[in-house]
Amino acid sequence: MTAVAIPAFTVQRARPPWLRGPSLIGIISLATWLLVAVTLPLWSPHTPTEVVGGRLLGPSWSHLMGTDALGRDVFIRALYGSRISLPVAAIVIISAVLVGTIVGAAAGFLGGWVDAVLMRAVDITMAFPPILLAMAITASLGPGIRNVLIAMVLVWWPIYARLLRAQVIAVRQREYVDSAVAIGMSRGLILRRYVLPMAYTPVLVNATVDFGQVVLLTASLSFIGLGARPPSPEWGAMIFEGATNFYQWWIAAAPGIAILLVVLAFNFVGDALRDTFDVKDLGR
Amino acid sequence: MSDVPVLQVRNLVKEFRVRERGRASVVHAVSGVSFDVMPGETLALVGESGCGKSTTGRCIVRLTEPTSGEVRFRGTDLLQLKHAELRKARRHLQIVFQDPQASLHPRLTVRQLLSEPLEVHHEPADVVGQRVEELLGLVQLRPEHLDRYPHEFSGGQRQRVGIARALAISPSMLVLDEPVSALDVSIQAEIMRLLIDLRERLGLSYLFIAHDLAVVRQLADRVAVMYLGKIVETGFADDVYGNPQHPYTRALLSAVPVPDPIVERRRQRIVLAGELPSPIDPPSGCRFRTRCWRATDRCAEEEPLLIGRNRTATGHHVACHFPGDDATPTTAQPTTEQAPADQPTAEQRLV
Repeated sequence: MTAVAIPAFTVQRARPPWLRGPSLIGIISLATWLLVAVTLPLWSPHTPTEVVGGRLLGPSWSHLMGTDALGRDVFIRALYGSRISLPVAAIVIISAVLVGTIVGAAAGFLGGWVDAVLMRAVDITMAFPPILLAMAITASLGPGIRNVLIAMVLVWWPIYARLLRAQVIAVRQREYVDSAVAIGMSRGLILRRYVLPMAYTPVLVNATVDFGQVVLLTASLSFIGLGARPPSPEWGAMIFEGATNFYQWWIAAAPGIAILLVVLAFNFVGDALRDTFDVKDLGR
Repeated sequence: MSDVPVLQVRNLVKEFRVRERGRASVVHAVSGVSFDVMPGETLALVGESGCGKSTTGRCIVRLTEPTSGEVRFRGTDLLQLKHAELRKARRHLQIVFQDPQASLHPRLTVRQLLSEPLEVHHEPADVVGQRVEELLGLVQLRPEHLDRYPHEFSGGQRQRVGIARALAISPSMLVLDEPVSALDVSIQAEIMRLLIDLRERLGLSYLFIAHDLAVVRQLADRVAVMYLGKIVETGFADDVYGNPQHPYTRALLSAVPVPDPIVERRRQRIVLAGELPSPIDPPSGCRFRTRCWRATDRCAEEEPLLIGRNRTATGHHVACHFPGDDATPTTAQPTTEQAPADQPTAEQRLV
């Protein structure tokens, strides 16, 4: 028998999947965007509506992505766009999760006719393509970023309602919930302490992925003129301006790249979270 | 033992509506079960899987809503209580579940698990702390276990936590739903000893649900044997074990192994043929007749009632047209060592 050399491994503690690979890139990217969005007014050389020079100038060292038809710095405007899109997405997701939680928990926990009525409302809402329904609602409320926000919450809550309902029904049947009933705990407390904490993970994972989708939908609505109004550096609105100046590619490219980076980052993080928590796609 | 029962169950019925291949049908899980449990007494409810014994237990504590019947606990019918009243009444009647892994919330520490029932019933904080320590002592766990989570324990320790949680609010009765079936045999004995000890110390009454007559022998005062949603035999443990009357009870008892290998080899075993019939469409007359070696036409036509062999209320009752052990199974013979080796088992199949 010959001695077999066993290679010495230095064992590293494995990082969780959401702190590795694409997800890590996503987290760094999002952190950077957040930092930019918060600190931008402190160091930005121009405001988004300031005319900085000639019109339709190509990219240069003084204006990284050139200027637009009114002579505004496109790069700075694209950065300023994050100050609209990120808060809008955050508000939409948080509100939709809140509404979805209340509806889903009520439907799953109470069951019976409450469940039937609420879930039919969910079905009706989800029967429409999101963009179409959002367009219809915004159009009827009138254009503007506030109405876009309302429209998107109305479009988005059913996803979380359905997801949470399924989880609540599954968790409700576990025996530790019986044990809480047996000791005489009230139903509200059982829901808060026993059911919701165990049912929430898929909702949070889905919300992360949806963040990117909401950014995209906000831009889409603005692009077709239902969202932010012209002087605003909203990404969708900027792309629309770029489309009218087709041969000055940089005007549309800057906000386009911004959207790409943000959506990609959220998808990276969301996918990794989904893998970590092994959630089946119960959403749509 | 006073003569007023703590728990009186009368004609308890639980039917589940199910939909099978588009056809609505009814599962008769529990079909008119009645029994009493006296203060300080242990009644063992025994039967094979699917006979409705666990459903009976869950109906008594109303974790499952019974279809009809009466569950009188310390004089009040639990089935008539409104939600809020029921929550108060639950203080005195607690349940211990089969699988502590599933019945203890995985994200709560032992301290939280044990103080929760007390907090729910509005005990002041200093009482809760003291009571939790006391409970640990009762189930023989150590104070350092308090801040651990259920998954950090062995099965036996976990079940101790489950028992402590049920005892937290000082109930007078426990429904034990197969509390040792999920545990290793060596641990089972420990938990059984603990349950006996607790019964003596706290004067508890038990409804002990089990699928195995051997397990409950050491602690049951009385035994009720269930088959397909009905009680087929009930009586004092000595009577049921020593002088089983119903063929089903005799079959169950014959399945209990004997520790002496010589006796064990010569032991006559009754092996029931076939499966438990579907509770969706139970057999007419006597529900056991499809597997009984003594079944006659009468068994198919007339349902045997649970009749007392003597006139006392808690005496030995049997639901069989042909009770007793006078006639040995016609095809079952005592096994001998001369049995041919190529036969798969020395047991005789009864049809």
